[in-house]
Amino acid sequence: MTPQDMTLGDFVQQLLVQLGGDAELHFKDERPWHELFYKLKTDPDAPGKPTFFETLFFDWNGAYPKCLELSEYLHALHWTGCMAAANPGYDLFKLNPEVEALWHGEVSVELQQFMLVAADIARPRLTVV
Amino acid sequence: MAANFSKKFPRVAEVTALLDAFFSNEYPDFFGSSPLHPIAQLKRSKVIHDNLWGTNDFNWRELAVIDSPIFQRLRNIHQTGLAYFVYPCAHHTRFEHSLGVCIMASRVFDAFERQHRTRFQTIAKTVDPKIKDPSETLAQWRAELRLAALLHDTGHSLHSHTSEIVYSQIPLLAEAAKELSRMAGTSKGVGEVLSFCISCTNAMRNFLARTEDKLMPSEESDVQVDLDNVSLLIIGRAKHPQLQFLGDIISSHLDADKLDYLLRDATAAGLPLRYDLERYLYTVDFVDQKLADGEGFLQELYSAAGSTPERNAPLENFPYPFYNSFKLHLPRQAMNTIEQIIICKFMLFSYIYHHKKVRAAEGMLARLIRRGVSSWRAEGMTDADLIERFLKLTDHALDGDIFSLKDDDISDYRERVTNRVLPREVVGFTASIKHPESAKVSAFMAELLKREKTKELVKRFEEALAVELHRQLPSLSPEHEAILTKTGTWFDVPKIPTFDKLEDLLVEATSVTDIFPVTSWIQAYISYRYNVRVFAFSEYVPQVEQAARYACKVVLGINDPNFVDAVKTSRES
Repeated sequence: MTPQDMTLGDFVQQLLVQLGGDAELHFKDERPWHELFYKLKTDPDAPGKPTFFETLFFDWNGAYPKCLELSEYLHALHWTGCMAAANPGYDLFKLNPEVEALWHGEVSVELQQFMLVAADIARPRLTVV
Repeated sequence: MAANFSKKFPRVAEVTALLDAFFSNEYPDFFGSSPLHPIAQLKRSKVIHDNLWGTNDFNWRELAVIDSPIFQRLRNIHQTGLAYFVYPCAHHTRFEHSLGVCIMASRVFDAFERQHRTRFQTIAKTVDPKIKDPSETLAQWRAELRLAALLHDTGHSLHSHTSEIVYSQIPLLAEAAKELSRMAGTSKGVGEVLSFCISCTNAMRNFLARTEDKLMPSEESDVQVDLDNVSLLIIGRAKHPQLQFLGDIISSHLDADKLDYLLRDATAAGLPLRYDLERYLYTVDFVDQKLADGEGFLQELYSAAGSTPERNAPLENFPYPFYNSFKLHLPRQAMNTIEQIIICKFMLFSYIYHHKKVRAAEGMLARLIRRGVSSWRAEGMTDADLIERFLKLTDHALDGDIFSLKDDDISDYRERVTNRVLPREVVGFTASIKHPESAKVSAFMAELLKREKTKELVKRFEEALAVELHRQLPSLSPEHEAILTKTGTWFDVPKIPTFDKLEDLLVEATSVTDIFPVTSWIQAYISYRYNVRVFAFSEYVPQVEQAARYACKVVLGINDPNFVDAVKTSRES
């Protein structure tokens, strides 16, 4: 996979793999996810940044930018069973280890570099210790 | 306003211009250079009785729109497509739905006015400090809201969303939808492009201006309307951020559209689904909220609409430029009603929109329409020609010759659709199936839901089906696409029901989703009830079932040779 052919869904998957299967991530409160993606879109271009960010669309309908495509995909990861959200309030979700094993794909060197940077930015925003 | 946007949004301007030309050529008596209609002089208002909402007044301006061919064609477009094949009484159309949305929009507005008249008047003075009589301004907003509600579905074509999935692929419309999303600062589809552009046409504007002169001598015209604001309301915005709640009434999670269609679709289908409208109207409110505008879309919009609201700089705890706005709001006392509305929507997906026979009928019709588009393209039709054609088409098109295509592979589709000879579900599965290889199904479903990959993955699955069908039925055709068409085989991936704006719905300063985990309900529901399916004509079911086994192996990577049988067994039990 290269920065040119990576889709938003591919990026979310690879980010989840980078963050590690043990990480518990915000789920009910999507705001950190949307703000992370908006930051990645608007930050100056870094080497290996996937090109889909250029055209990623955010709705401005409330207090923060919201990407519907991201929202739909996060929900899909839950209801397809790729991510588990067993806590009573569905506050957090966690990667299903069996699915994680299927997501370890080949990525180009420059994309891998960007994924490491993105994971560093994402970790404090998305994960809950 | 349209002129202000034409350079920045050339595709939207192009669609508006082509609609203008189309209306004046197609309906010269209404929209041409020497129009006749309205012929008779107009009374100030008339009563229309609706089976859901009872007796309601429509004013002369609304009646002129209703009596125009742009609106009358909605009488021949079923609201729920081919759902009447399963629910024989679901013959209601976009016509009565649009009237219903108009009635609902003004009831919500009236509820606001009844309960918050003073605040309303304060907003009126903020939006236009020069106004003398705020009551007139409120009457104008109400009139604009009702017109927007009437016009919001005028872009529909035959069998509503079934044709929309086809014409949404017309490049000019797809590009215009991207532009309109940017213009509105919120995601918009092609249906909204057409309705928005129709409201922007000179044809419509001149028609309404002329209509005013046709009032009976004894009648007085009521308030003037700002048609730019009507157009913005159709896309869920308004000419000023303080009026955002009006846009929310037309397009938001709990909008007038939903208030009408949930009850109308359920009632027509004979389903015992209800929500507490009285409670909704008793509690509905608007609340001040910061409207973030990080990319400046809203600034452009308001400026083009001729208003200059103050755009605030980011704050320490609010990192985006923002406008102070008023948004639709429901208090905690309305929670039961919100739950009822959400459950109604779930149930309608399960009962109607995703019913396997409805999917089978609409899938076949979509294929027929798609093939029609290919043949019209082959005749030299441009994007503009196709848009015009879809605006001419209504459900009656299936009775005429337009879909009698000279194409052996698909020639009997029209007969099958009109005579309800529907394909059968060969196999269908949900993401929640219990199987040792269910992780592969999860990963496949997640892949399928990546927007850019859906088409490609469906194609791969169907290609695998065709390979195996060709092996079994070599005499049918050497072409894979023809084999699929002749056997009525396809892999069906319905649209996911979304509640995407739910987080924006505030209940006393917190999001609805903070009070009860409705998004998780939705996901659990989808997980158990959302099916992807393989359909085929009855006469080919055994062969297609075998082909489905092969496709699951090569596309999903399922090793269990009995996977399809196991899925069928678990569903049948």
